[in-house]
Amino acid sequence: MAPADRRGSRPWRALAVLTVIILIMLVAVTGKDTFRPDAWHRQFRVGLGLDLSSGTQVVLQAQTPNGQPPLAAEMSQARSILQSRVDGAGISGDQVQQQGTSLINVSLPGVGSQQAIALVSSTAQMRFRQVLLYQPGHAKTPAGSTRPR
Amino acid sequence: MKLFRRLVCTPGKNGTVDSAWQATVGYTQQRAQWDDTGSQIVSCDAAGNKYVLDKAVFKGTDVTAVNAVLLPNSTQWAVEMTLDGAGSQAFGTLTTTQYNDYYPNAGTNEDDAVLDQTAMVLDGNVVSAPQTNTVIPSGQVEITGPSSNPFTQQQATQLANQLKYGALPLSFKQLYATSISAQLGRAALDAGLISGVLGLLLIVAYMFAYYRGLGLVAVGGLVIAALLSYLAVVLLSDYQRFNLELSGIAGLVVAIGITADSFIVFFERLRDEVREGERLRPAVESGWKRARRTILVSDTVSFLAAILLFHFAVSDVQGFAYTLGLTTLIDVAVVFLFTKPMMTLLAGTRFSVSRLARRATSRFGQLGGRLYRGEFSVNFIGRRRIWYAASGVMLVIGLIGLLVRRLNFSVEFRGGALFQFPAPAATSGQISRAMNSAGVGQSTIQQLGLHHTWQVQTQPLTTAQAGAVENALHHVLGIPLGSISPQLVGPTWGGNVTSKAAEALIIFLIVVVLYLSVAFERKMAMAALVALLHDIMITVGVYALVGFQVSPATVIGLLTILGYSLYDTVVVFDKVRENTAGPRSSYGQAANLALNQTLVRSLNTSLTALVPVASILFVGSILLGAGPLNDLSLVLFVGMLSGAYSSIFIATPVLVGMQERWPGNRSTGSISPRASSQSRRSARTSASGRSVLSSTRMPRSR
Repeated sequence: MAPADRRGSRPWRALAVLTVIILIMLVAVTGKDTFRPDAWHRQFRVGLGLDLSSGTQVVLQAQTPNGQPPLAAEMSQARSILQSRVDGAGISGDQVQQQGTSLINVSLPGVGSQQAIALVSSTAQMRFRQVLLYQPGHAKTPAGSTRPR
Repeated sequence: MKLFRRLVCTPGKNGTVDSAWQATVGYTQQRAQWDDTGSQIVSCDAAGNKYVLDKAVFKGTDVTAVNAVLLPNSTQWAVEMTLDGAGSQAFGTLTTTQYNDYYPNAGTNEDDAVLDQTAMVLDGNVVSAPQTNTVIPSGQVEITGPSSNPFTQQQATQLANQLKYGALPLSFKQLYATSISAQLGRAALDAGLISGVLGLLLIVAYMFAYYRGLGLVAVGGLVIAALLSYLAVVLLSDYQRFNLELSGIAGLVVAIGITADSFIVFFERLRDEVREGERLRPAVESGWKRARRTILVSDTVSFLAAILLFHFAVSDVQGFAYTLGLTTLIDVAVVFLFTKPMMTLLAGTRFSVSRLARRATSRFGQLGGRLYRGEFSVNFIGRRRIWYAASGVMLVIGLIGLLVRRLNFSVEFRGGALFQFPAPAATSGQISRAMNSAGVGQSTIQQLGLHHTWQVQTQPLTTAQAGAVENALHHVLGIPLGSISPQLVGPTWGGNVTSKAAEALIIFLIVVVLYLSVAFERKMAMAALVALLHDIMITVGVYALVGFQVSPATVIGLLTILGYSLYDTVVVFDKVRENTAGPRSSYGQAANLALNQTLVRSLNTSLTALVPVASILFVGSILLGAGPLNDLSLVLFVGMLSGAYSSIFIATPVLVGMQERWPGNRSTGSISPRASSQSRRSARTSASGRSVLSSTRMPRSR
């Protein structure tokens, strides 16, 4: 049998390791608010998925005229266009992910179905138009107008 | 002009356009407003410049090819664009006017400089607005950056990609769309949390009832495991953008059973050692050595299952696999860093000694002790024909059920639309009228759960039809649009889920057989496989007979059962291997003794696994009525029952059968069982498979 002193020292060491792990995780969670207990509640938030909060998930399948699977480059391009469209609509916490070879999964927290489908399911359209009037963005906005938030 | 004055453009992030400008001029999501090809529009670009644009001259579909190229003899990049016939003609006319009328004075006259530009507009936003500096009738266009600030390769490629997208032959079909209202999300969160707390409380109560004082260690461990899981989930959602879904909560609740089981394995081992007459302190150490292996092997199996599930599952159940894998790791940490050291410490105090002594003399403990010593024993192996026959009958009934009644597939597999909404005052007649007024004839109307939620199921609908249904429900029943949760499923969606699940199943079976062959031996792997297939077939049969609904969550639950069924089998096999390594009795006898010795633990394991699942099922069906949570827990419940049965009545008897038929080389595993030639010979001689009800005490190897 092992000597008693070895058995005596080991359990404390293991418990100490466990305590250190928990402390490190706590510090990692609280981050810069570690020493301000009143602000802790902000850090202890768990991100909730769509099915526990609210929002819309849309899965899109790419279709090619010849029925062949789409090219990886085409898919990643389509994904990034969708991503920029969703970002542009000011939705936070969104996820636009490619699944498999031909699926794109779009999750839009807090967005109703009609709005989400309108945003995502329409195909991107390119138009060429002659410019009639132009004003550089860095110029002062016209008097009387309000700036968006 | 009015719109142009109102228009406010702000520079977007990372080269994208900030779409907030649409609101400043009253443009909504309606494409007709900002993409009207027949009229003038206003728009913005990524830098925040604003524009008034003329009617569309040609469309992206007129673009046949786009490439980013390095201009010859320079470091400047450009984009080459080729137009089709109609596009070339329209662009030729435009550039002729621009070049002849505006270009000459563009340097001096601001208006002419503007009119000389052509904007490329992607989804209403200006991508680029280059100046025309020549007539381009051929449809071969070259776009260069301003001479003061030429295109880099990256800029040219980005522009080319944006132009290409308009011409890309890739269109998208909406396969699946589901929307969760805030009420429904809240109800699901509540149901998940309540079932988790209920499951935890039941397990805690059971631990105290069964282990008394030692239960304190188990409960402490559960609390620490819960704390670690919570912190891990918070950290992951901070740093990995991990979002906890309903299926993730289900994974956490199922994990309560796994964590509790690690204690059970250890404590039962410890009790065995004490029964052997060992004093408590050394018993903790030697019991630990044996339990550690079992815990690691079973956690490995469930971790493998989690990884495969995560890799193959569609997003919905990835959350389940993720938390299951996470908590398996946490379980290992808790057992090594908390349970074991606590037991070592407690063994040194008088407290636990008296508790253990008392437990050992209690009635159930006595039964465990007698089973362990072989004084009392159930002849599982000898009567195996009975169990085979019972399972065979169940399988045949299940098969007949499958052929006659078929499986009741959910809307995800058949395709269709599903609407859920809260309406305490509504009747199904009113809802039916609302559906009719929306032009949707056939629909199934159902009331769900405690929250007066209604569920209406119809044939597949287009987005416009679904919108009509929502509006009708709003007008006829006064339901706020925001509280309707529609789900639109194309008929091919379920097929996607199933084919992935089938892939996962096959790979899982291969991986498991390989792993068990290495960790144990090939015959054990095959026997475990037989038990697994048995569980799957029984579960499918039950589903066909009872007519439970099969949804994607059910399919995933079925995959999870595999992990669980194995987990249970592995623990029994571990003991079988240990016993059969001894020199004296036949394989059948030794295996039967192992079954009896692990019987109490098997029952405990099954109970602690079933209790949390049952609490999800119970809370879910009361609060929510239907949904993925119920589908998942129901299939787990059925499968776990079957798994608990098969690890005792199928897996080990099959193993013994194989061992008797092909008694050959048992030590194929890398960790070779310490089988003596004598035991192999005796295994061969007892081909009858009859095990003896005797008080033979197995000599144990240390």
